Amino acid sequence: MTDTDKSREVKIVHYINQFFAGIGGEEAGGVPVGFEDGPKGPGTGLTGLLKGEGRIVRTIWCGDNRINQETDEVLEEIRRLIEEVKPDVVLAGPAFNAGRYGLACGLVGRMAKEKLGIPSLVAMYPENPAVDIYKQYCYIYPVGEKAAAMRQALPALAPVVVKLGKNGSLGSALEDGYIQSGYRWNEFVERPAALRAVDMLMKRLSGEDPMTEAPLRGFEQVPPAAPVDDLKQAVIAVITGGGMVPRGNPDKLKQAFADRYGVYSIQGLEELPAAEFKGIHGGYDSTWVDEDPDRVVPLDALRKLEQKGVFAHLHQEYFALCGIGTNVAMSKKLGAELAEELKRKGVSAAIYTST
Amino acid sequence: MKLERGYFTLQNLEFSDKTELTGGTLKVDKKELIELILQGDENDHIASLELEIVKPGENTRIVHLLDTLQVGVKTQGEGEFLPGFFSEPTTVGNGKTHLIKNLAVMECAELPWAGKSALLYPREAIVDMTGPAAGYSPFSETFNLLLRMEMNTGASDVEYDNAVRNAGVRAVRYLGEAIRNLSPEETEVFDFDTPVDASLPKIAYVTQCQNQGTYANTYLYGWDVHNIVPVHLSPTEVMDGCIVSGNYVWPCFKIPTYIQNNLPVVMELSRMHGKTCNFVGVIFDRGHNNSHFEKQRVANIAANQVRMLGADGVIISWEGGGNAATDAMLTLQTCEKWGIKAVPFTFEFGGPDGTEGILLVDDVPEAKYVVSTGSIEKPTTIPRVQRVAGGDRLRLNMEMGGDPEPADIERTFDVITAFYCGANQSGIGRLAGVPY
Repeated sequence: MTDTDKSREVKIVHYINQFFAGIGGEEAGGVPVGFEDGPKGPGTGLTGLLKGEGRIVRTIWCGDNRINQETDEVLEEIRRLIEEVKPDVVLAGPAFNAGRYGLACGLVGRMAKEKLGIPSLVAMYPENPAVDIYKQYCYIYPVGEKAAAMRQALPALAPVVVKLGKNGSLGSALEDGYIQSGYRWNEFVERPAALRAVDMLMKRLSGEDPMTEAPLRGFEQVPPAAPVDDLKQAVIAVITGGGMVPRGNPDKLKQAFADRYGVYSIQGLEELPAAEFKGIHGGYDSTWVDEDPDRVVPLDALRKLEQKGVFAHLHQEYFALCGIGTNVAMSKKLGAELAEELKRKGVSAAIYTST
Repeated sequence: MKLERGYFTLQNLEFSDKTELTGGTLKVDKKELIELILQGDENDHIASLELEIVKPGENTRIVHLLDTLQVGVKTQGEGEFLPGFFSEPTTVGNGKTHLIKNLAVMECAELPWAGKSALLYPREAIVDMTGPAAGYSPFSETFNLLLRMEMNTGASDVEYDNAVRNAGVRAVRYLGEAIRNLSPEETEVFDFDTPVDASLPKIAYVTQCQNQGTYANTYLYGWDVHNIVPVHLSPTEVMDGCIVSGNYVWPCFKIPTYIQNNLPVVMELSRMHGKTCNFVGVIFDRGHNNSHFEKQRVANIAANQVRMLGADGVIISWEGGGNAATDAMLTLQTCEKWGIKAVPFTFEFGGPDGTEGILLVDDVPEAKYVVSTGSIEKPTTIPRVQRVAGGDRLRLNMEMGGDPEPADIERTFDVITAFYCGANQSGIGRLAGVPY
């Protein structure tokens, strides 16, 4: 970057709603798109805080109801109004915890980024419902819950909007303080992980509340399936996450980080013969299941129950993968595919053996 | 306990006809060291042994890497460095120990794949000295002396495992003699005898190793820790090498012996001890306990050790992927329940861009403060290299046949499991998963 570039003022387009444009409250939610060249409403307060490094060249507004109801037309008009002035960055909000205003800001922020390639920064309360919808599409900067938080919001926003305008992107969420989008990249940071852990603990011990580096995204609770109505009529399949496959691993299943599952015939077999099957799971010592594969695919026991008439019959194939290192997204995908296949094949219940 | 560590930093490493450290150069009598190791290999498991030198900055890829050790020797105080190997299991951690700071002795061998267990076999382990994967391993920055071994056929996994470890420890003991009577360039004293200011926060460290069977074991004072319950160790005995690694199953998850006796949390807290904290000790245990019952049992015992030390806070880390995280998270949960603030560090998942699913193998609601050591699900391309050391081919994907492949070519890995220390489980590396 040359010195001239550095000293250049960042050109900002600012999007606000009818209320902050001074037109009216709830009753004015239907007002059409309007604009004014220069700052308006909260932008006026922001201008001084930009310290000559940035300038709001145009303020665009629209009623919250209108933009959420006539989205395509309104966004097209806003797109045209933004494009006319060729800004470096689009700022929307702060929308605080206002639901429709938050959605409007998200719409504008996403459109600017995707349709115009102009980086955008949207300001709202972290629990505004629009955050989860738009955080992966544009930077969302956290501000307080109510409009009274404007006084704290603007000084925090000013350097970030300037940085975004200058660089076209921001640093990490930890560095620049925006709400995490969900995207994560490996980087070599300044201090080794062990020392960062000591730092984090020392902060906690001195009463601070440091930010975690790996947020818990929360495990989903999977409700158990309904019981089988009539076991005597049921067709049972057996699925294993224990990585038992025909010797030679014909489907080249991976021993960790599964990306598919294998389907293997057990037709006519009373048990899984050790000479023909082998465990390939990379997370437990397979010695004992290699010695007797029925220990992880309990075919011998299931055949006995089948003969006794405990259930109608055993499905003629079993299903296998290695349940290790597979992330939740892939697990869900494989689970859905497997369930679909079982239904298609007339299976009414399945036993999943893990390790 | 009180330990003085004296350090030597190498400027160069070369072969010579006499082993000595002079003018910053470690000269190694190749012939003598090879003879010593082969003589010790009483049952002839090692068919041939070559020594290779790999230096920082070289365009070189190291393959078939097993354990990595630091050269050290105790010059004062009871016991020997790496106690329990060719020495009594005497309690160490007092007196003086000399160490070479930037020299790694590396055991490299293509151990036979007996094909018995899908977990317990040595997987291909790679260190790139330069290029995009170099940062995954601290050993891209050390002078490396490779013991490149070829093994005779017909022995058991247990015998191979012992043979390569014995070779490494013998090399350390041999090279240690070269620094025994020299005056260290710098020293550090770790004094846990003198009482410290009672107002300093008390901190413990729980380090949970991997011990799942041959090729996935860890040794404490010369014996594997299959049945261990959490045990309190002095930071200084850890520094003197009472923990030795025999874990080769997933190279990214490995904490080699070199790092075990330089665990960065132990070193940092020991340096802070008496100044900004009171480091009350190390709790050493193993993960991958089989059932929930066993995991909670070990977690309770570990947490209670921490509690009985009076700790206000604890750092928790673990070796190994998968369910080892559960043992550690239960330990964390129990500590937090008792009012002990806990901070763990761990690798993460999340798919190639970080958006897929949850980040950790397992967690508990109490894990609100976690340090990331980076994601293991990042595709990594390694470039063609000029030289390959430690072997001359790669063995990957045993479950798909594991045919040998050229080692020097460009290649892309979907995940980083083959990179030695890539998951950064000791926290020694600067790799982190960074949110955007």
